[in-house]
Amino acid sequence: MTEGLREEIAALVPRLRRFAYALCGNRDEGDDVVQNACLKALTRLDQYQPGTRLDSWMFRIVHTGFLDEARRRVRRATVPDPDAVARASDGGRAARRPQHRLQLDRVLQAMAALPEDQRAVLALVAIEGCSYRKTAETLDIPVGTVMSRLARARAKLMPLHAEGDA
Amino acid sequence: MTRNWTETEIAAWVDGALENPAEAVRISAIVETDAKAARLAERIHASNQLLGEAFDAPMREPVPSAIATALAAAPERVAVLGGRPGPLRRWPLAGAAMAATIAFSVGLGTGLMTGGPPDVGLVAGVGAHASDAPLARALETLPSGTVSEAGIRPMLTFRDADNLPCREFETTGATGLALGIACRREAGRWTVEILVAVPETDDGSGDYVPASGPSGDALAAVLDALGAGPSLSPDAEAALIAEDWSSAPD
Repeated sequence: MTEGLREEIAALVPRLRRFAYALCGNRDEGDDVVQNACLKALTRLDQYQPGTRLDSWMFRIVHTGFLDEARRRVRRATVPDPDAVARASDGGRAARRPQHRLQLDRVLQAMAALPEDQRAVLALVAIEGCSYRKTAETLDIPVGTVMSRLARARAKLMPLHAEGDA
Repeated sequence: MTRNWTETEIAAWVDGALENPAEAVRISAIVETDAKAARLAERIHASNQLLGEAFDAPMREPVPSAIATALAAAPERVAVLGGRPGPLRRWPLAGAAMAATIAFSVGLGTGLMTGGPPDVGLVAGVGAHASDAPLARALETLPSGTVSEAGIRPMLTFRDADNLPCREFETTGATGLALGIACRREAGRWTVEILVAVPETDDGSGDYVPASGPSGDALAAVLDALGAGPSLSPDAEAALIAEDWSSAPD
């Protein structure tokens, strides 16, 4: 039973890393959060109800781990460091045009500038493709709160995207 | 003509979050015929795509070895926080059932705040110990793993970012087992940076700190703040003790 769950969690790791990256704005921090989340999950496997969504369960552990980590950091970069942004690049495969690369950088910065609660909702809905209901369950908030945080996050982010449209 | 849609509805449609199929059909039709709705839908869609792309790198990579290792750990021996190699890596968990631990200071001797009722949250920075205090004597002279008369057991030694020697230690206080970190800031004087309580486990061993939970996090935070280096080998530590902690770092 445990082995099967480990494999399922392993299959989720890319998505967990993506979610953590969006939350932390920093790849290394994100990976630390995911590593801790995996450790925590292993010690709490008895709390996972088989048949329920394992990805929601893991997203939640990642999110609370991120919040714990954020609370104890004295200084939190609100703008990702240039190295992190460079590492985030896929070598320019998708972003051949400099304007597009610039746009992606702006997205990274804009996400980092969002309040954490808006960032989490936007990451789950827009990046991970979670429904509003699933997002609400993962973050343990009402669906209405999901929608209002989403709207506020997009109000800040979307004008920036528009600037990038040549 | 007044608008028969809201931005929220368009967003929910783009996000695939409209639960009522009839609603989804209605909004689809609107997006097809209403230019403003269509533009908004396109902008939201583009925003989602851009976000996905900005954070996409992990999706194209294999699982990093640190995470794979974490996943392969036996639950009852899960250890360690974060990617930093350092002293905490060597401390396994006592058992699968981990209650959140609560940190507070325990009375150890002069200069310390005595423990009150446990509080959620941490009491750190418990202060300097003069060289004749039991704690300072133990840290100054005992090899890691040995216990002093006062029940203080240094666990290991490392250097902080300023190359000051620091030691992790166990001790028993009024409320049970505690773990701490102290650094030797001046000759003979050890300053306790943090002290956390460890819950007793069922089998009474209780010697270990959980990797997660407030105590483990607190210890990791202090190690981070100190810029802790890797722990010293027994030989290196013995040499340091023999030379009254004054030998230069390797």
